[in-house]
This record gives sequence, C-alpha cells and structure tokens, in this order.
Amino acid sequence: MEKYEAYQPPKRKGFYLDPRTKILFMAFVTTLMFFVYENLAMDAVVAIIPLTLLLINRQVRTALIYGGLFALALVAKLTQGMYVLPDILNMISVLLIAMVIRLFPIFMLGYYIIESTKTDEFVAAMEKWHIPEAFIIPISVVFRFIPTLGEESAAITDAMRMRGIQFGTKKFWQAPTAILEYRIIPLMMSVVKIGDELSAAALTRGLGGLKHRTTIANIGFTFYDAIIAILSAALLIWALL
Amino acid sequence: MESKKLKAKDLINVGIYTAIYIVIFFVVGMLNAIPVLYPFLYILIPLISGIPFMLFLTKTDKFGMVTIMSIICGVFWFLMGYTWTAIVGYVVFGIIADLVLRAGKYKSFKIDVIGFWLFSCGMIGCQAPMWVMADTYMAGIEQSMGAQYASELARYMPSWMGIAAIAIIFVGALLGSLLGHKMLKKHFERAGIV
Repeated sequence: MEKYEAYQPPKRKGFYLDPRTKILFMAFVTTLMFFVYENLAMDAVVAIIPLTLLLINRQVRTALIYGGLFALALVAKLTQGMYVLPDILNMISVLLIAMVIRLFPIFMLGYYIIESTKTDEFVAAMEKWHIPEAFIIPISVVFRFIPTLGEESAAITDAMRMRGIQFGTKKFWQAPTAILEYRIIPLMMSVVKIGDELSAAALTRGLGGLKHRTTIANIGFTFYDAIIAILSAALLIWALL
Repeated sequence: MESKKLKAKDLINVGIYTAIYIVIFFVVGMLNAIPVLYPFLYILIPLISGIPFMLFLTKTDKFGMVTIMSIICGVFWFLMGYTWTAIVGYVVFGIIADLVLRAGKYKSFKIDVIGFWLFSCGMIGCQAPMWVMADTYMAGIEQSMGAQYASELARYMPSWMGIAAIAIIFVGALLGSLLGHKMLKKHFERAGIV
C-alpha cells in the first residue's frame, strides 16, 4: 500500500527571523530608547535596523516614508543651532523632530513585526514559551485585528466623506461631538460582525478543542537571529560605555 | 449555568476589544505632544473608549476576560516603551476591576461604571515613569523634546497628578460609560447586536 507523507511546508529561503527574536528585540529597543537619550548617533543606528528589516520584507513604500521623515528630522536636529525661528514655531518644530526621532524607530519595528509575522508562526513561538492559551489567542487576535481596524476605518472615512461628515467641514462645526458617534458606531458594528465571523472560522479549525493542537509552522532560531542578538549586544555595550 | 471556563469565543472577543482599546488609546494619546492637554487625556480616553468597553461588558460573563485584556494592554505598552510601570498599573487595576465587575455579575450598570473606572486607572501606569523615575525621565524629555516642553510638562503634570488622575478618570469613566450605555441603547440594541 502506498504511503502518504504528511504535508510539509516548503522550506524557507532567505532572510527570516523567529517571532521570539522580534519580540525580545522590540522590548530591548524600547527599553534602550528610554534610558539612552543624548546619543543621536545611536538613535540613527537604531533606526537603520528596522529600516533594513522593512526593506528586506519588501515594504519599500513604508520604509521610504518613515526613513525619509526620520532622515529629515535628523538633518533638522543637526542644523538646529544654525538658524533662529520664532518662539512658537520653534517649539513646534523641536517637538515634531523629537517625536520623529524617538518614536519612528519603534513604529518601524512594530510595523515590521505586525506585517512580517504570520499568525501560526506567532502562536507556535508563544507555545514554545509556554504562555497559556488564554493569552495566546487574544494576543494573536490583536495582531491580526489592528490592520483590519485600519481598513474598516478607512472605508468608513470614505463613506462619511460622501455625506460631508469629516473634520473641518461646515456640518462638522455644527455638531462636533456627533463625529465621534458617526465614526465609532459603524466601526463597532463591523467589528462585532467580523468578530463573530472570526470566532466561527477559528472554531471550525479546532480552536478551543480539548486536544492539544499541533502546528506545521516551522520556527526556530537561525543564523539571522544570531545577527540580531549580536547587534543588540553591541548596542548594549555602546550604551553602557 | 454555563461553565466558568473561558471558551475560544470569549478569548477572541477579548482580543478584538483589546485591539480597539489599544488603537483608541494610541490615537488619542498622540495629544500628549501638547503638555496642557496631558491631563485631559484622563478624561478623553475613558470617554471615547467607553463605547467599546460597554459593548465588551455585554459579551462578558466570566471572570478573567477583563484581567486578560488589561494584562495584554500592559505588555503592549511596555513594548511600546512605557516601561514596566505600565504593566504594573494595568495588571493591578485590571484584576481589581475584574473582581468588582464580577460582584455585579457584569450586568449591573452602576458596578460597570466603577469597574470601568478602575480599569481605566491602569493608564496611570503609563505616565508613572514621569514620577517614579522622575530624574531619568525628565532628563530624557529635556534632551529630546526641548527644555520648554520639559518645564511645561513638569508644570502641568506634577507628581500629585498621579493621585488626582484617579478622580479625573472617574469623571471620564462616568461620562464614557453613560455615553456607551446610551449608544448601546440607541444603536446596538435596535440592531439586535446586544
């Protein structure tokens, strides 16, 4: 009798990071950014890492927008002493520059993580950490849901624009608080519906069953994870020096 | 009586409403770029997140859902750079809120208000580095955001604000849950969702 082999996912080619590496690196970078603040060169290096990751993941547009703004802010910061702006303008520019320099590296990394991590890989990685299922399921839903919320919200914006309900129009100023209702209620409606569908889809795939679920996601630390580890160690040493 | 164990559907619901809460927090939290508006966050965030939270409570009937939600929020804000105080704040207040809500069986409106208030208090943890690690934090802010911002921040967010926030959040949570309750009645019950 012929034997059928179990399905094996195709072998991965090229750059790949374990979800655990991504999460640990995120925690490391944010902690580093909190305690190190006067080192502009380090900010730049920290920004280059997620930028490279985004480019490797072929998110060229995101990389260009975030990277471009970051570079602009960096240039502005370096040339800050060279010209004098009026007081209020100066404050706004200082704030904007500071926000971009401090937050964009973290945004880029977060964006990369959300876009590049498949849900099954994430779940498999969390199971290796022995995190209880009561946390894994909601967290993976959060991951999957944040982009969906963005899409739904954009669709609602389009629909509202057709009726002239948006920030700054005449209708808006007649009832500014109503905009909250007009935006959030439709969003919640579609969210409830999507949530029900998601539950149904998950249940048919055996989520919440009694048996322990297996996975075909093929995760594990590789050479690339080692690179990230070395980079983190180097940053840590640099920060401590 | 259904079993007390959380089912897959409950966990997915937790995930969905946590995502909404995080997004609202994130968008509204951007206002802190202007120091004067900082204390208003304590009103605005509970006010806006009241609608999803009240809807969330209609789907909750077991202990643990609110706790899980707050732990995930805490870990998320930790990863976004709010340091460990965010985790402490959310976990402590989340568990207390869940206990209170359970006392009202997640259905009594008055107790829902108190529970939502306690849950929202978790966000004080996100601002706590300002007071707990004042030196490091303020030095960092001064370096990156400029001395002007730092001094204004210190003016509008003195350390007693951490205590006052609890009262401010109560106002926000009350308004938020009233709004949420009204919206539930006006839209969701009519549509048959709740």
